[in-house]
Amino acid sequence: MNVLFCKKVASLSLVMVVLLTSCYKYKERPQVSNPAYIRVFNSLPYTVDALHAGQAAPFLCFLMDPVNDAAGVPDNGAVVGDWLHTRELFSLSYAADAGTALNAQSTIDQINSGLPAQDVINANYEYPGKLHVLTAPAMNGIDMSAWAQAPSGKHRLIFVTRPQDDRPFDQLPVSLRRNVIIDTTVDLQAGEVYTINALATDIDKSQYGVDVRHEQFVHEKFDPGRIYAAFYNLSSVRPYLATDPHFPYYWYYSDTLTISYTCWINDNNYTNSYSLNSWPLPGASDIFLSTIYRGKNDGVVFAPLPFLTRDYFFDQQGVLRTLTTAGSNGNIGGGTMPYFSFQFSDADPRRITYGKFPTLLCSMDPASFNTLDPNTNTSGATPLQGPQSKIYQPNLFRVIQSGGSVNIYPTVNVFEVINDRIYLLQLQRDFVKVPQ
Amino acid sequence: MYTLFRRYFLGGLLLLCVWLWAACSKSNSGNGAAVTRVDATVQPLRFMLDNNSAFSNFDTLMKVSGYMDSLGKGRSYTLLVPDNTAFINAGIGIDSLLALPKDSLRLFVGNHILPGVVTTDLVPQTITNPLTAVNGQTLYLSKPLISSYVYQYPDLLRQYQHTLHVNGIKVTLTDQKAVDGILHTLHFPLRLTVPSVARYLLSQPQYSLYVAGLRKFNLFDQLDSAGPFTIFPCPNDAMIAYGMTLDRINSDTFDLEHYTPWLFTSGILDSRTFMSDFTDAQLPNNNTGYTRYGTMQYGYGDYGQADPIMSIQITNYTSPLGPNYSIYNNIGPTANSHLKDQQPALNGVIMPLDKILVYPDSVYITH
Repeated sequence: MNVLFCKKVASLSLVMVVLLTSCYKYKERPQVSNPAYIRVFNSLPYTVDALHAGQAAPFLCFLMDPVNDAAGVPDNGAVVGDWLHTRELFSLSYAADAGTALNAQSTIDQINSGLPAQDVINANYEYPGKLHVLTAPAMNGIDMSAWAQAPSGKHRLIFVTRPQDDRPFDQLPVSLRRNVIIDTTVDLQAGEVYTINALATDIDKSQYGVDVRHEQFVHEKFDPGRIYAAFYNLSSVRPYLATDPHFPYYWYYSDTLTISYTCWINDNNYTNSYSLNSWPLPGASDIFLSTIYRGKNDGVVFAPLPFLTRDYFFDQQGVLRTLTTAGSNGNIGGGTMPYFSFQFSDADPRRITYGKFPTLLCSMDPASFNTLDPNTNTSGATPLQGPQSKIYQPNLFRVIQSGGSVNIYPTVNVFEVINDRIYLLQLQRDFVKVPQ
Repeated sequence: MYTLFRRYFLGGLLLLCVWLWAACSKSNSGNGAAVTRVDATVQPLRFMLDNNSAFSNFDTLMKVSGYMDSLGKGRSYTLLVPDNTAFINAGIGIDSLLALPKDSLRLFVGNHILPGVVTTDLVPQTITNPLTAVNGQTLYLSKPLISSYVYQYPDLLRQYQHTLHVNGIKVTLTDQKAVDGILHTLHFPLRLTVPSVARYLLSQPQYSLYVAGLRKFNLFDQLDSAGPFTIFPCPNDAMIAYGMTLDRINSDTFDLEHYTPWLFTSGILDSRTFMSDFTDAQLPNNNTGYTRYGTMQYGYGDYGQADPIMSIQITNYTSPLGPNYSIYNNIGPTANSHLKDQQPALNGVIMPLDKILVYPDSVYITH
């Protein structure tokens, strides 16, 4: 009995000591004191073509406060956002794919073709995106975890164009690390939120720049019963290929845009030109929203849009209406859920020869939207955006089914018009109130 | 009991110590000296040239020019080797090269040697990256770019990283390691760079009518400036075939008052563009170039054929009502240019065509 007891004591103490001492202790990431919050997008719309050798390929590395190597070429920084891919058309205030592998770049084509994981190139659609970094707290009722903490104060930002391969930036040879296309200094205030876009400012002259937007939505008082939308125009100077109706970019959004909205509701007994059985909500058809100017962020307002009562979201049998999706043939269609459309116009007298701008329909299912190709027209499918009468973004009514019930929430929406594309950054408010 | 306790406790403690010592992560106690491994399959550049029969022509040229003696002297080089098939592709006999004066031969061979090691993964992923060969001439290396909308198959992206063009000529085999450098093989030998586009055209009698036409339209003198220009000249017989004889060019009715400049400007680009750039960095809308007068449709694909060809078709458009109401007309024949005739110049590239680009009558100004 005593022997057994001694054996037990010895074994137990052994196990305890091993458990307590031999494990590797990871250091906690140091806190950032007085942080500002940043989110970085690569919004370069073009790649180099055969007649413009000086242009930058749209695959970047972002460095804050770059550190140079012995050769005087940047190889590291206080903040590094590597493998920065052209951003996705639709993004949220939190990183929907946070924590997944950097190389989880999967379009429908890539999923369907069954590419093995090792054949996928590292890519991050934004910084911080999928990276494990300290993020912003919830602010103004919005989950802000897509913004990373960064030291406040004056900082140098650079963007380097890099090859599409798996080598981390600091392992690239000098010849590939010196292709800096944007070099600027910003002053970040503690506790404030900034969205940073790497942009082409003049495509013909191969000039690039950065738009650092001091976000106001964390300070705005939003009515919980309204949807909000704000538009920014971050386009470049109009390129040569957009100066004539015969040129391929003739339909690019112009410097000054007047925007109006229509709220569409469904009636199963009615068919209109959009083939969605929908018609405008009385009093919400072609309502002026705002006028936006290229490169001017001040004066942009969050305009309130109507939020509908619950019965609009169900058909006569009480079944939840559907969102627009891409069919198996890739064509976009269907959907009976209420949605907003936005019409764009300008005062250019040549508009009659250029044709109207596309109408933006915010009718798509947000769950599958980013798996579709943004501009390319693969195998005859409808592209999400392009020179056509209709372009798409997800629905601004946020429908969440949980706990056996359907909940519909209003959202705050930041639209960014950049040359030929309209990006949507959707902020979902009151996320804490979503029933579990 | 005490003995038993001591036996088991001390035994356990000993075991614990061993365990802790063994289980903890260790800092790297070595001094970090890397073990140098000798890869028996990697040979000196000279050995690779001497022992590959496909390189025998270039091997001979390296020896006769004296460059072979520079190898293996402690410096690294990158060899761009046209293999024997490359000389056949270009229609160049080795004897004609060996008959050159030694200085000329050294210039030709030196154009294929870069100082230092230039592997494909060191070249930026863009077009026309300039590098200087040992003869002092500039070579332009290009790698394929991601398409403008960057959803691409990753296996294609991987392939792009190991695809290289030198002055528009395809590298058929990349990154062959050597002890003293690296070796790539080329589809054609590299042409020597001429001083300027203008002087090249003047030196070639078959372009005398083309030069006369450019002069009449005040377009010739610029071709001797810094540029860069890419120019598509056509020979005298093509000019004559479409009625542009010397008499007509010299006549009072052959000028900018009677013809739009596009008669000639359609064949002059304000860029240094090699043929392969049209696949490495495509133009919008399926390789279409746009001007106020109309469009140029460039067609080029190097699929490994012995004699890759580029074609150009010119179209104009009429209608003030926008693209949906326009009428598009071909206003010239389909003109072809052979890659083997592509001539680099200090201020650009010359791509000789077999036909004119625009029918004179289609750009005639009716008063």
